Amino acid sequence: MSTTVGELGSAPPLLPRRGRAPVRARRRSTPPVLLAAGVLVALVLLLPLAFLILEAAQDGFSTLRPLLFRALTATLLWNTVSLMVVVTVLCAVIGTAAAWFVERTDLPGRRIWAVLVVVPIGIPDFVTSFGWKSIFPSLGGFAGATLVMTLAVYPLVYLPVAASLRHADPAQEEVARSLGLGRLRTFVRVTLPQVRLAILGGGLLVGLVMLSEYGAFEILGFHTFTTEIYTEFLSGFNAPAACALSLVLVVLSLFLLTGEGLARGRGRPSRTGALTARVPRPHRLGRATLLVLAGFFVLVGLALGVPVGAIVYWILHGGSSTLPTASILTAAGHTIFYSAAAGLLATIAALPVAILSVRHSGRVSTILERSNYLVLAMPGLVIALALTYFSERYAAGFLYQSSTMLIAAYAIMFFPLALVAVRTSVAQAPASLEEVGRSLGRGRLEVLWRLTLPLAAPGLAAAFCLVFLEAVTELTATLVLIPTGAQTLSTQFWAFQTNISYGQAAPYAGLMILIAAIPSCVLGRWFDRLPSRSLVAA
Amino acid sequence: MTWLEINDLHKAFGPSTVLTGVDLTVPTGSLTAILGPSGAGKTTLLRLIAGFERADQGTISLGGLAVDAAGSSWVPSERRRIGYVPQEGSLFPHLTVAKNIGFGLPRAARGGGRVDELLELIGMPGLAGRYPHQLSGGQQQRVALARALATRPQLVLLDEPFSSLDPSLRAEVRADVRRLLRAAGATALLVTHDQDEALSLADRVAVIRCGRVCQIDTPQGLYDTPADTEVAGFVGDANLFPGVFLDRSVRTALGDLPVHCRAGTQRTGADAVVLIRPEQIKLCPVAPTAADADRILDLEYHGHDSVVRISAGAADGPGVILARIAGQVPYAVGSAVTMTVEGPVLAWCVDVAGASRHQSAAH
Repeated sequence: MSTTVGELGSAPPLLPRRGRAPVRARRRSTPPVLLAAGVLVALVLLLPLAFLILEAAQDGFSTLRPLLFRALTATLLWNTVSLMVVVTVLCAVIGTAAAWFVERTDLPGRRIWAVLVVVPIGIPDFVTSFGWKSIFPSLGGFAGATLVMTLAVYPLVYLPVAASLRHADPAQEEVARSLGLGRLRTFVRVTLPQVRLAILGGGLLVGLVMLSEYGAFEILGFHTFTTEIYTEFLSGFNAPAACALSLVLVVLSLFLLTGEGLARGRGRPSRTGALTARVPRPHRLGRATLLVLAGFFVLVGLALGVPVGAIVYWILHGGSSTLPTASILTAAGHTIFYSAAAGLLATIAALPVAILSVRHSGRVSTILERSNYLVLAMPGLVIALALTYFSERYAAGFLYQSSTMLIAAYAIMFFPLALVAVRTSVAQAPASLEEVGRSLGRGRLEVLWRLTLPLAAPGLAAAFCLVFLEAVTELTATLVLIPTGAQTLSTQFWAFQTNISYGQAAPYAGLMILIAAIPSCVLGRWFDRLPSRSLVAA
Repeated sequence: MTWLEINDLHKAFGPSTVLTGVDLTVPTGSLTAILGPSGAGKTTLLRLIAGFERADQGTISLGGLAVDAAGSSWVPSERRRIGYVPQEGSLFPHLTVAKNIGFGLPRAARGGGRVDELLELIGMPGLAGRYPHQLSGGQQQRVALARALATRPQLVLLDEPFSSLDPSLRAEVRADVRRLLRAAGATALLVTHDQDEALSLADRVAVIRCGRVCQIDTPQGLYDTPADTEVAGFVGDANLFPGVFLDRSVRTALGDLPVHCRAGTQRTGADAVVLIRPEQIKLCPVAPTAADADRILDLEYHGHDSVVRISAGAADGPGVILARIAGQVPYAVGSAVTMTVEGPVLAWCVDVAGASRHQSAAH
């Protein structure tokens, strides 16, 4: 054993400064590099909204008033809001019920159902819509839109609720039963409150999708704000009209976000004891088993069977005797390149923001939170149009229809997703580890590089996958910003679909889903390991 | 020689004040324990010394240099030459044992002899390639200490390092840590709420209460001459009796007892508060017929000794008295006994005795 483990007094009491370490006392010790990066990200995130407001201000209220207060606006408002409410409620019911049956009962084949009910999230809404319309051409209107959108987006509620049920403390239900509550009252008074935040979070996502969806509604011939904005954009660049409608849409999204925030309240479900609780004993369905099984068959059949079946059918029988191999590969190449670049950009941008918001609460991180919030309220179409107008008006068409602008638009649109993943990971790495690192004589940047980044790595990968997945299946902003001459899988699919060349469109949809399936698998594993709270803390 | 010196340290988080004027000196090479109930500000004090928080007022000096003099100077954590061992060990989960220990070393030294030396020292030379989740709680704590010692810090800060271990393991790891700190010759500051731990491990114990250090002494000094009744109750079980000072003794319900130390005005005839430790009380059986006899309320058998609670027959004195008897107690619950006191006692004048007088502070 060594005798000279530490030589007292052999060294100066303090280590010499390295670099320009601040000596004067400062209140808050946020590194300036981090601050600068955060501010830059916030500025970029706020650009689209700023352009929109600037544009509206230039047009003036007298121009906007007749565009806003007309019968069309009222119709669009009614269509958009009523559909959003109905679909959100249906999704909340279906998603919660499916999650409870899969996670908490002895339903036969639970593991398989757990996968099958989630898969529809990998199919873009406009592809689901295409599947239904190509088989039932008469489908459309409010009823059609309700059916198709509910089947396309209920997994957004299912996923957080299932995760929440998996991580909730089953002992709380047992305590309720021991206190004399029956099964139903236990479910209403204990289980539902446990998953309340998950339902709200999922419902919010559904609502935001309903406000920003374009392709599915266009196929079904149902008019909402997005379809109208896109029409105004196509029909000769009616900037003031598109701008006015966009602002209404942003205000609607903000209402939704604020409403969800208020509904959350201050109560947080908490659990005491170890996170690795035992698996709860599943409820026995008994004679209801057959009925529930039938329900799952119908749900999966409609949500997964119809769109996948339609694609397979059109590929096989669509009469596309000449499969355009070359053009589909080029389109796939573009899709992958744009999406991967956007994933990388959004993840890198999310890192300083996540570190600021988790480790350094202050004015800058508050501003960042708000800008992120505002981006959530901006449908992709609105972001794309804002960037287009900016380029037209202030930059003489600079970057318009360039791949740079498309990638930037993706990165802005999906920044909130990347942030959720990165922030969760950074928050899970305890601050005490970084403090230990500092106390061992290592500087802030070195600690970031050697501790924070490796610990957050799974979250960074998840952020990349999330953005990649969303960008691969993105249609609306892509249609607006696609570089001249280039095609992605979604735009090419859209072109064929619009011409009712279903047989030619189907292979593009199939390939798009296959590409999106890979990051989905990675994400599924990441989500499973997370505590439920972080899932819904969008 | 003093390594750490703290003067009039204040810290508040928003409206809640945590430290209100802490003064503390830690001699070079000593192991000092900071003992206090939870919420007393122990961990905050440690974090201020480590440089994770900034003081609102007051100064912290290491080796004679001010590292935190509120408003005028500030030295960041990484330049303070400290070693920090947090409560849960907080090993870096993505690094092996060897890389954890070598984290603070310059790049060239990370694979070298220093890491092997420390692995040897903590008795884990074969486990260099393990990851933290493959170690037991005691092993994790040893690695955390080795990591802190690797850079040859001048001051090692330990934040309740044994609280996450099971009791059976605690004694063993405690002894190891003490040995390792001695071998390293480092000055160490240990935060704990466990009086056993503080008394058995440290050279000096600072009792912190409501954001202030209320007494610093050797473990024995603290136990024998606590500054007030609250400290007396915090560092062990205490029976507090009212009494009156006589010439060299004090008169209590248990008779006139010799006083070995008095605090406050020492006037004969003044009111006193008398501390009688449970192990000073001896029991004798008496006839069960005596109406106002002291009776045994209950017994706790601990193997090496027993703790007896006695309901006092006399009117003036604590209602319930604790006694500690070696081995088994030859009495049944309800038996009548008389109590005698062995050895000199500590007595305070009533005005310095502290807040909780005339009551038995037992825990």
